[in-house]
Amino acid sequence: MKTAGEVSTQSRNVGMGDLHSARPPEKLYTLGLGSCLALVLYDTRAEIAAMAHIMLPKSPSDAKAEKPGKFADTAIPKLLEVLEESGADRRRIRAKVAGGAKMFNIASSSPLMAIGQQNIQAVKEGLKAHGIPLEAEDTGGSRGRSVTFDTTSWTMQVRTIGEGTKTL
Amino acid sequence: MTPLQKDAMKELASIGTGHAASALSGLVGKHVNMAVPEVEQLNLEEVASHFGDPESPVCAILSRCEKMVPSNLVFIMPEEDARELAEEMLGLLNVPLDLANRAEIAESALAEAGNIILGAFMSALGDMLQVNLPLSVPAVAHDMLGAIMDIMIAIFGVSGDTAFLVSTPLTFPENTDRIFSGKVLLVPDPQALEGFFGLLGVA
Repeated sequence: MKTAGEVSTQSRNVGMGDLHSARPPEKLYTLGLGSCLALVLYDTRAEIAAMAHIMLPKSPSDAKAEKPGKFADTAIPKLLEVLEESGADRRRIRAKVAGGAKMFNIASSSPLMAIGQQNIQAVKEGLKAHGIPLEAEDTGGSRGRSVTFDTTSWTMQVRTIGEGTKTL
Repeated sequence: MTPLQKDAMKELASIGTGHAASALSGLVGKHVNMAVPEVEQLNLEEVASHFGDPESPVCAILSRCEKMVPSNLVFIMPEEDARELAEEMLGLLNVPLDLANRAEIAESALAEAGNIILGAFMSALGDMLQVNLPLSVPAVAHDMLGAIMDIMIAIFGVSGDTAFLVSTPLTFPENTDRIFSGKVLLVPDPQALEGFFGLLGVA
């Protein structure tokens, strides 16, 4: 919800497959996440955060490189690159993640119907491989989420229909 | 996609939704209007907002076809329309208003509505294409529009940056107080498009 005095550049929407960075007091947000994930990497000392709106766990080998935020395996290195270019120190970078729901309880032989769980697993493995600690998460389940990351408090607000807002 | 292929998909959706609309009409005992199907090719990041506020509460009933032309078939409507539809059905069945498990019955009524509507759509397609297109048991979800669309869109993300779907709005013209606005979405998996074109003879 925007207040009267708020400048639009202070909140940035991270669309599907996108990746954006922000500095205090900016916010990064994404609305209505289902199986997708909002992954935020941040360095509080360098005062920089970046969010990727991840759709899928793994990029196909012939993937076009212009949307690294789309896949877990390309989003993590890109987030690290963006943060480090802005002065972040790899040893201080932390992660928070939300999303990866299974919206429909449907019997299907298609692995894509369980893509949320695969996204979560891919992000966790990727963070581990890069040595980035996962500070907090709100993942899985069957509820859609709207996610806002606030660079003044370095917290993630996760809203759902029916379960209100929680802060990570 | 060529203009011919686009028209063929429109025609296919038109026939499917025609059957879905009469199925819905039979369920609620009301006339149902159907708009002309829209064939949409959208950038992944604009899909959710194309259909409205990504946070708006919707009810979606999803069924999947795994044979020949792997596709998701979705009947989606604003949450208040879903409640209205459930009420219409429960009213016709004379379900008492004070029944303890009324909400539960309303929920299965919606699943059944989805089953009938989507089943009518898919069997019309099967008849036209002369193939058997079985559908999975439908799953109902009540949530944010964006979250509901995610899974359909993710399937396209594997092979590209655009999503393809056919959308047909349904309305009850007799309801004058507010407009019911359900939509039947046919969302073929990317590789299923070629299958459709082959069966339609427009490959």
